[in-house]
Amino acid sequence: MLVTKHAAELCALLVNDLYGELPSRILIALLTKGRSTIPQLVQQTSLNPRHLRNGLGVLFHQNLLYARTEPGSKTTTYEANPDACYNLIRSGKILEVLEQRFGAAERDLVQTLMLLGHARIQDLGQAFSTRAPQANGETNGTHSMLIGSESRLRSVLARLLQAEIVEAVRADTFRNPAEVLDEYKQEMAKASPGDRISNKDKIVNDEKAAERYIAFRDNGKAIKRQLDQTRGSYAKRRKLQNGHSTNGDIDDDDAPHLNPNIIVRVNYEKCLVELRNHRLVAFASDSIGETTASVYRTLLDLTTAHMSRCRIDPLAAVKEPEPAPITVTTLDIFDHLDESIDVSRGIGKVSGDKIDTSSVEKVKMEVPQSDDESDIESDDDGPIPNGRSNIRPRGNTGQHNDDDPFSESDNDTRTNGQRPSRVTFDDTSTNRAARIEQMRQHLLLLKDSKHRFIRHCGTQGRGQWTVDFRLLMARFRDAEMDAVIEQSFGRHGLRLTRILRERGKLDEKMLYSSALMKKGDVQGKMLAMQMAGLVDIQEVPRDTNRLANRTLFFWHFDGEKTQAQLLDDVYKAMLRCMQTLQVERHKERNILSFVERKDVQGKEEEVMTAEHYNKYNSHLEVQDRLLGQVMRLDDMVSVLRDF
Amino acid sequence: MSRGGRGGGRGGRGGRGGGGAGRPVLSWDNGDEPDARPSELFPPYTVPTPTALNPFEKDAVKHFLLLRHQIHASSLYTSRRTLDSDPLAPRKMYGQEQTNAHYGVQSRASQDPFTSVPTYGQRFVREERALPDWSRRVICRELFPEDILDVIEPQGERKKRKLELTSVNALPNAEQAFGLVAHGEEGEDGARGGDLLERLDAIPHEEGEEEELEGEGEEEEQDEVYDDEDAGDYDAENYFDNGDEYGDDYGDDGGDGEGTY
Repeated sequence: MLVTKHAAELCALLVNDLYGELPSRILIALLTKGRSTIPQLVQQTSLNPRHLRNGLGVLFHQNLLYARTEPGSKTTTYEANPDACYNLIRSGKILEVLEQRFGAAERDLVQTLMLLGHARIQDLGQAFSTRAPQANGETNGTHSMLIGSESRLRSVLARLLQAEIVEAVRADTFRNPAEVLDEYKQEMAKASPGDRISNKDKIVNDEKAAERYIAFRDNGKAIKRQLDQTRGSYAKRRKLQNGHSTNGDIDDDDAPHLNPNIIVRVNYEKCLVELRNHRLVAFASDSIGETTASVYRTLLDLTTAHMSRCRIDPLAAVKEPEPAPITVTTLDIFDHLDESIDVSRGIGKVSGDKIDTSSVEKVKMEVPQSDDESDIESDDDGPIPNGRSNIRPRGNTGQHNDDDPFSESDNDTRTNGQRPSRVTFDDTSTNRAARIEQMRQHLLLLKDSKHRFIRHCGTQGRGQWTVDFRLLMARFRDAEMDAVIEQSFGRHGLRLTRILRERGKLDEKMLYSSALMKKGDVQGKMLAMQMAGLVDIQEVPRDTNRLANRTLFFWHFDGEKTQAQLLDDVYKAMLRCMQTLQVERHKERNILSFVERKDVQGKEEEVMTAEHYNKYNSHLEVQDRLLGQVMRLDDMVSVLRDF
Repeated sequence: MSRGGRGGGRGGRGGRGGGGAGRPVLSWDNGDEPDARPSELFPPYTVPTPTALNPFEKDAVKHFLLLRHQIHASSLYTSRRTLDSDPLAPRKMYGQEQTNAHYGVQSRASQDPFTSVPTYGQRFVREERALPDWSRRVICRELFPEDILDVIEPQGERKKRKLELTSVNALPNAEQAFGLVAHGEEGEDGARGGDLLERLDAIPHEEGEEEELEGEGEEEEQDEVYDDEDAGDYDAENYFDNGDEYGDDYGDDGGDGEGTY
């Protein structure tokens, strides 16, 4: 994570909001000054060493720091971990996703771990087994699902460990990974003989270092591998339990033995994978339909079961090539699909002769290299040019018995206009073969959508499917950027930038002729966008004396720069939201501090007035809205930076 | 910007006369003069309103707030000025001294003697820690670097600590904080959400409106409480109203004491 000014302020504010002022103050110093030792921090913050050590302790306890003690000396250098600080804002979303995916008990455990930073399994077991039953009936019926015994804890923890949501911690986990890699590289350089290292040796050394780094990084997953061997892998177990409804009915007696001395914490990288799945499913649900989205959910769960991070770790990129796409077969997906999902919903019907089967069933074995238009055109080269529109995504599961509302209006070029627009759904065949066939239709819908959610990559097991995450997320990013440009510069601005993105650098004349816009309009828009930093001009002189009329001026659009700038803008917007929240809290500080008072519990009605009640309630609403906005902005950050 | 001069025509008088070479003919020049008028300071802007949160987002916010609440209730939370300093007040954060001044708001030296008199109600305010309290936390000793270890768990006291789970497991929402739920459970009517408004009405209103609600026993109690507060130790009106009596008493006792004063 590139720490800009706003990102640093945001991190500090988040830590201030959650953990208090002292840690936040130290964090600011660490973020602005970089790696420091305690004596250096004393100088920078004017805090006394005792305060400083306490504050560092809190930060360290919550995994917000990198620390490194040189083997020879006793001094330790500390460094802020901006990613971990930023992830604090995601904790709410992560907990919600985990609750949906795994269940309340798992969510409860992860929440406890977030609260504690890291904890020893032994201590956790002891704490959970002695937890007092919640006397006050405040929990809403989830009580029975929560962890009450040590064996239950162990089985829940094992599930999370196998899903990589929770990872083991060792002392050197707290080192900055980039630093670790550097150290390995240096060691390699020292070990290799001779003074000058040839280029080839350097590459070999780097690979070796990366290899060691990967071993270092995956050290925390040893326990997962061990569990996979003894209990069978997570995906297999899910298959047995069939579907989502896995919580609650797990028997406690299969609790595995876990080394009580292992220290565990939440693995945010894997949580991001889950968040990405959730985001994709939500998007599929919006663009196609709910039933299709739940099929997609199953497919994503299967393909990402062994994916530990969203993107390739840039530090290990030398040694770790892009992983081969994980494929799943239709039958696999079907076996994992929740039985309560009615797959016959959400698809329209056309007669068989209207469908261009060869185009629909086209198998693409290779990962498409580029995302440009030519790729799409080659898709459409099938015998019937309009083959795509024959299966039409019909998302709205509620109105499937009505007239198909889209059949006449939305697609004028359709070839089958004379078809009666009544769609009959009376064949509620529930037998397996029909169900599989219907589910396959959903998969084809996903494949044929313009977002290309999945790729049909083989024919075994009634079709193999995979997800090209890298390309899919690149499309997502572009879409996100397009939306922002359209918001701020209108449709014409968007058109101009898209032309530039597609064609590269363009002369102005070319630009307005290909955009079919007036010269003056183009100039105005381009100037506005140049002032905003989206586009820029490159001068190419035609001869040595750089006269203006002998110079070519090319407009170009720098996607990466725009993305980085956009990211910083989003950080800023999040920061402002959080600051607004602080101001709101300051406004209502009297009521807020009153609600927190110890004596309020019993005799509120004596002291409080309806006016205060209303104020408090409206403050809570404002707080929800602001935090909700921050989380939406975080969605954008995730797409631009992490997914 | 004003290269065209007042003539407004292409090139303008100044350009042609002064430069000699004149304005070069450029392909992108369409002869229009740029609009050099100052732009509006606050151009009309439609403020976008975000859509309402969907259930997923609502739950996520709720989880985040609950986690925040739990962390605040834990022994590691430190705060000294959370809500006291005005976030809107201008801040100068240019040097280290100014930054420190911003932080060290609450200390013995900076206390305001007029407002810092301890009151009874302050006994119930959650105490604000300046330093985290490590005595009840379980520490994984092998993880911590040595130089912070002796602060968070001094070598001497290595008694076995026990990990405690948080006792906070629900967010205080408005209904709970104001005792509305308790009301509903005590009362006979089982519906919890429906009669919320009724219960809201049952809450004592502002002091000014209390006359309207007289007649209910609870309200009378309330009145007494407030009367008591109003009466206080020093009641100016009563003091002077009863002054005659005192004066009479005084006169009775002292008789012609007036002369002496």
